[in-house]
Amino acid sequence: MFRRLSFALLSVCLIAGLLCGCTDNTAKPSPGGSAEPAGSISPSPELKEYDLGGLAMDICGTNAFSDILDTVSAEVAAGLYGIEPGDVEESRLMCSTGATAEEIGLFKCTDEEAAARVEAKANDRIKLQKKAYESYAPEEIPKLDDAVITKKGAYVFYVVSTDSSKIKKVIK
Amino acid sequence: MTPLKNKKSFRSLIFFALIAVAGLLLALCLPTSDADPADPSASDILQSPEPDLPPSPQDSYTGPDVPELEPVDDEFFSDAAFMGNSLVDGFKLFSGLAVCDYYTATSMTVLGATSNSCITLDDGTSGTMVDGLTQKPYGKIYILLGINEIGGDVDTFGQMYADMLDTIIAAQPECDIYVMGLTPVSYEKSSSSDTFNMERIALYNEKLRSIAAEKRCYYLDLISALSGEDGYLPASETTDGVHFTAGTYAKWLDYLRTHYIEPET
Repeated sequence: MFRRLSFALLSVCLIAGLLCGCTDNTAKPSPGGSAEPAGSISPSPELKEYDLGGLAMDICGTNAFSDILDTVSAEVAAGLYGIEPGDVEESRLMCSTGATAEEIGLFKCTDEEAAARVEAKANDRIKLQKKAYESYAPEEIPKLDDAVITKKGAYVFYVVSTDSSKIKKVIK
Repeated sequence: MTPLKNKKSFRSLIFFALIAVAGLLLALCLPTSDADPADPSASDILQSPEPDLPPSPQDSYTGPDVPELEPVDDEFFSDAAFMGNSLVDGFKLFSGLAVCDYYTATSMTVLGATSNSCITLDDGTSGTMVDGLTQKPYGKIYILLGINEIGGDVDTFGQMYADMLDTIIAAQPECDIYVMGLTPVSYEKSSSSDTFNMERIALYNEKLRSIAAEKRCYYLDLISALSGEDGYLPASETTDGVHFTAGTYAKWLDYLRTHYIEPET
């Protein structure tokens, strides 16, 4: 009797332990528009996937722009930045009317090495834009000085806005 | 008739025949180079007809204004180059026309286009925008410059622009060159600026059109292409009164598709 009771109690404990070991791995979108695949361990920042379209919308939603920004084709984007076609899988580029230097450039590169090259091109663009606007519209220089240029794994983000702190809250 | 009379008659006949033949030969052998150029009838008879030569491109020039024709597709612009300031930069970004070459930069002026080595040429060296336009043959060249110089003297601007065209024409003798007139500004901008207003724009466009005519180039009236019914750039299409939103560039391209010189076949 005692043996049967012990065996039953042990079984209940084992089953209860197994049930408590399960966790909820349902994917939840991050504020930056990225999605963690269900069942996976939370990825490090370098392996994070970004939804560039969603991220572009989130950045526009910060209201950190004084100009109207419109979407530019991927082909034009690559030419504008001088990016090698094989370095970028996907991009979102939104340029201003030209009245300001405001811009959103989001790039998903083929790998981290390509991302390093694209990041260098983004820094080159800042230099060119500063040269172009220093006499044309010098009030744009502070925006360029405060530009967000960041590489996260295989992603490169380039944003020139009126308030970089708002942009940095979105790009995590 | 006696034999003596027969002989005389025969000699006379021979004599007159010889004179007739000599006269005929003399008429045929008259040199044509000595024909009196003032005598058209003689030159018409004696000169061989000149071969039909194809007319040179400039022979078909009928003035700077460009007719409205049936719209062309992107292929028409595959041998084209565009040069200009930030507005042409915007055209490159937003018009959707990607088959042609662009030589553009923010704040570009006529002086900058001819003296500022700011682009990389096909051979890898640095060059000016005009160097870019003259480095290879183009069928059409579109130029928009002037809004950044509109505060200056229009005649000085005109002379520099004409000199720039001379350089381009010398390197591209078979090319159709389109001088694009300055674009409209908004009513708010025009009424608040001593420089960027429609009166100054009209003055510069008049100069550009006359230069186009003088240099046997073509003039494109972008005021009619882009302004609203009131003659100004619509306020909804600009943030600073001068630069355009994306949709305006599509209108600009539509205008170019319907205003062109038909290539000679």
